[in-house]
Amino acid sequence: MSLFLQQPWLLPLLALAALPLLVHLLSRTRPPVYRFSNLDFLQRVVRRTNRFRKPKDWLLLILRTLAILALAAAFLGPLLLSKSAPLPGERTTLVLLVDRSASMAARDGAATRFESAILAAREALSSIRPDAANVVWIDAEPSAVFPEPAPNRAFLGESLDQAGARPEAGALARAWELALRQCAIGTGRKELVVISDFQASAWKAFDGTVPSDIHVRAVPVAKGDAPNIALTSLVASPAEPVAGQEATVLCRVRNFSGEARRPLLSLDAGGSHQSRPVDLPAWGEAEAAFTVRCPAAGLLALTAAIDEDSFPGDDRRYLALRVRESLRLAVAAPANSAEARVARSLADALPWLDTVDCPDPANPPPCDLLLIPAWDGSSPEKLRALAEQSTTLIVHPAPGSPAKSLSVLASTPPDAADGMLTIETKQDGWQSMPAEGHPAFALFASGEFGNPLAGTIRQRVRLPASVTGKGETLGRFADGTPALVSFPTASAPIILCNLPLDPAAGDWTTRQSFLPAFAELILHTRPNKPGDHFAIESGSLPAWSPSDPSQAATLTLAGPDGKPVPLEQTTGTGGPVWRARQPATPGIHAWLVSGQPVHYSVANFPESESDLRALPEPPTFGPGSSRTNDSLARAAALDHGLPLWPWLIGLTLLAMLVEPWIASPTLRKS
Amino acid sequence: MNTAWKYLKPEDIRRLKNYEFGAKAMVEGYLSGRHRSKQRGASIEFHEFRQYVPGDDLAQVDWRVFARNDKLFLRTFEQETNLECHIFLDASASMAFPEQEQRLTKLEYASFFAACLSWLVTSKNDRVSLTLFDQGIRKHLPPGSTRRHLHDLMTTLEHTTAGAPTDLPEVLHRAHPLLKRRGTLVILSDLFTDPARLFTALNPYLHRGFRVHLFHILDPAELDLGNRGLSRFVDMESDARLTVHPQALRDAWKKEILDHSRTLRALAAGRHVDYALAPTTESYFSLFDRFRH
Repeated sequence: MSLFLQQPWLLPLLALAALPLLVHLLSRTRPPVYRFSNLDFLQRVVRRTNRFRKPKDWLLLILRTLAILALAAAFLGPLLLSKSAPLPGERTTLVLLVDRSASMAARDGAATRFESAILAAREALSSIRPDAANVVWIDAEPSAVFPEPAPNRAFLGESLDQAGARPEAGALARAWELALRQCAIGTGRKELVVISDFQASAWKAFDGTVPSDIHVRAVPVAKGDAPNIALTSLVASPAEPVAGQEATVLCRVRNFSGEARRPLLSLDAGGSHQSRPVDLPAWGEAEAAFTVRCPAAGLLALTAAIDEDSFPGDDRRYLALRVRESLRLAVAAPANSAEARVARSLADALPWLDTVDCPDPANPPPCDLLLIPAWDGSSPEKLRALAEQSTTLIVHPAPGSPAKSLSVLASTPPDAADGMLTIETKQDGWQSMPAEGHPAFALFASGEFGNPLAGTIRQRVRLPASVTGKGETLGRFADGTPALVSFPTASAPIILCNLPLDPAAGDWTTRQSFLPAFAELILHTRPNKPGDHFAIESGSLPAWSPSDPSQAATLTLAGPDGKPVPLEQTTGTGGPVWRARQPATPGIHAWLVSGQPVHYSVANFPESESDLRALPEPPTFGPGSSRTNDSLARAAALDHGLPLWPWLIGLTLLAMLVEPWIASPTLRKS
Repeated sequence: MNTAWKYLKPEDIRRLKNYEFGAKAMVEGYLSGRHRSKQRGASIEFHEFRQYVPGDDLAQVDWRVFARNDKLFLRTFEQETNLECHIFLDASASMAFPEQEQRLTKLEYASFFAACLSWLVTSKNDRVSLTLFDQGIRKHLPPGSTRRHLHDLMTTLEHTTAGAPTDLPEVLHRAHPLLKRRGTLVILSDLFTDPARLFTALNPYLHRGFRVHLFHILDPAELDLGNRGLSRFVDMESDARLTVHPQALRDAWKKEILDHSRTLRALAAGRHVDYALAPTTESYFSLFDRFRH
């Protein structure tokens, strides 16, 4: 706070304050003489009342001095200014950084946080009265109303009125940079007013520093931590099921409140509806799994929902699945080989499996699984890269292949194996059994379908224990030697198979259990492709590039509400890209060709926005910043200077009113 | 003899004829009169029987008793005698308050009352004495009941002016030997003195059987300092000066004076002394009621 005098040349008026003191002293020097009968009694009374009388005289003197001083000071025109107030006549540039991320839609009592923010922003515009101003929005794609701060406050007010909270996370850092750029463009005194709910999850780690010439004020609008229940995750496994397969849909629900809740969770999968209650502990989360059957190939839209609460934006979650017609199995074996014949017979028996020939295992055609029945150990690095890029490898090493290649393929230490792989033969063969616990053989766990690895294996490769010991054993021979070993990678596993597909080396492939066992093995070791092919960020622009250029002629985009969304065509690296002209809101956006959905863009409510707890105190942004918990208008008024003369006149009048009361014991008593 | 006395007006004399001066206690005196005395003497009021001792007046022997039991007993009677009233009048400087021509000073008020009382006492052939004092005895007129004595007393009152500071206890101490006979002691003063000292000084009188009347004479301006502004007070007795704001002290002063009066009244009640606060605005005739039985 600082004091500014509008009429400093009237400062000598303050000397009038000495007047009461002079009057007081003069009045005491020449009092009228009064002869009295006895002063002994009077002196005794004076002594007894001395402590009361003296302060009263001083009080009178102080009161009168105060009255004169206040009156004289009123003529000086004092203004009370905040410490960082602009100098009189200084230009002011105001940038309002207004949060309109999803959490601002939370309701604190009668109004939402965003409505409070708009009120605060309008208050700042009208009370600070800047020469130039601009509004920067904090949302997924931060933007400013004007290219640079402009004097048209009315338009800014209209823009504020027309705005609403968006169901998207705010890109804080970019919005902050944009606001600082706007401030830097401005002239004169630069003020940055940050109006937000200061959601703890978003602002806690944010480090916003400002140049020293920018004065920052933080205006918090959140009035409490609004309780909320949110659907935070919806995942399907497998992400791309094949037709006829069942997919498991996992829903995660979080409770952002201090009370345990039991909402009803429901899942709609292409018209099929399931629901169940979920028990949520206070500040906890719970998961629920639904089994969804995918009868036919195509697109399958899933919508999970919970009971609506006061913050409904995150009560629904969406997922789109592409149900594949078949899996592609590339077989790296001569077409007339026994292994190729076995593979073809598999494909004939399984409607969801296609086999393709693969002359060069290192460069396979597009496929989900690559079967190498007699791998000679060539290109282990390339093969491992294939697995990491989402192709499951089923490798049966050939005798004589280098053990080191196996070590590279399994990503074990290079010196773990050396030499060549050799074969061992046993006339009466070896029996093998699946290892317990792996989901690939869960179907056979009850014993109803027998031993999936039943058969007699007469030839097997001596696999180095230093390699097989590092993987997960799916099946083993009766003597304990691993028969099936899985080496996981980031995307798809590498299956090291010591069960020969050639009927001459073992009769596993001729047994009845072979077909379901191999089918289960394929389904459960298929590449774990990410299921977010359709996912886009809420607030981003849905875009899609049709693979068939002819589809572009009848391409339309239907929003979550079924209404068409305007599109524009841009050119991407892979050809023409169609992009929506408006940001995506949570829901399933359907790309339609001739009225039929060919692709989905699924936007979900950002998980980070569901926790509505605000920072206990708004953040500070360097030495020039302040927090405004009270009225912004009051603070702004103080910036423009609070005239003190009415208060001083009031003080004078008050002193004059009190003076007789102090001076007259009779009046005081009455 | 001039009868136009300043402090005894004819209308006051006429009014005084309706009053009577009596004494609640028995008194001593030389002459027979209306008042009972501890001295046994000739009267019709029986006192007691007492055994004869040689030297007693045989006329007082009750012969009927002697005839009945052969013992000599004297039948004694109370002696009726005249009254002595001793007036102590404060003539100190403070009694000249207030110094305003249109108002009676405390000394004038006391003088009027003393004059009337003297006339009332002497009119019944009782004796009255006058002692003027300030810090000492300024003048003492011994008891007398003659017209000449009344004249001297009035003249003394007329020529009395307020003088030095007061010291009533000291005066009472010194005056004690001057009063030969016990009687009624009337003290007229503003009593700006320590009550404990005052009553200590009165003790010898009370032990001798004096009936004491304390008349506390105060001007209304002394009872209430009033609403005057800041003033410099000058002591009429010592010329001491004190600048105070009477408005501020008004309540405290009033309380102090009333407390002083209450103390005097309480001490007086404990010693069977008659005490009366007499504002100078009140008629001094009302003070005569204090003498009624």
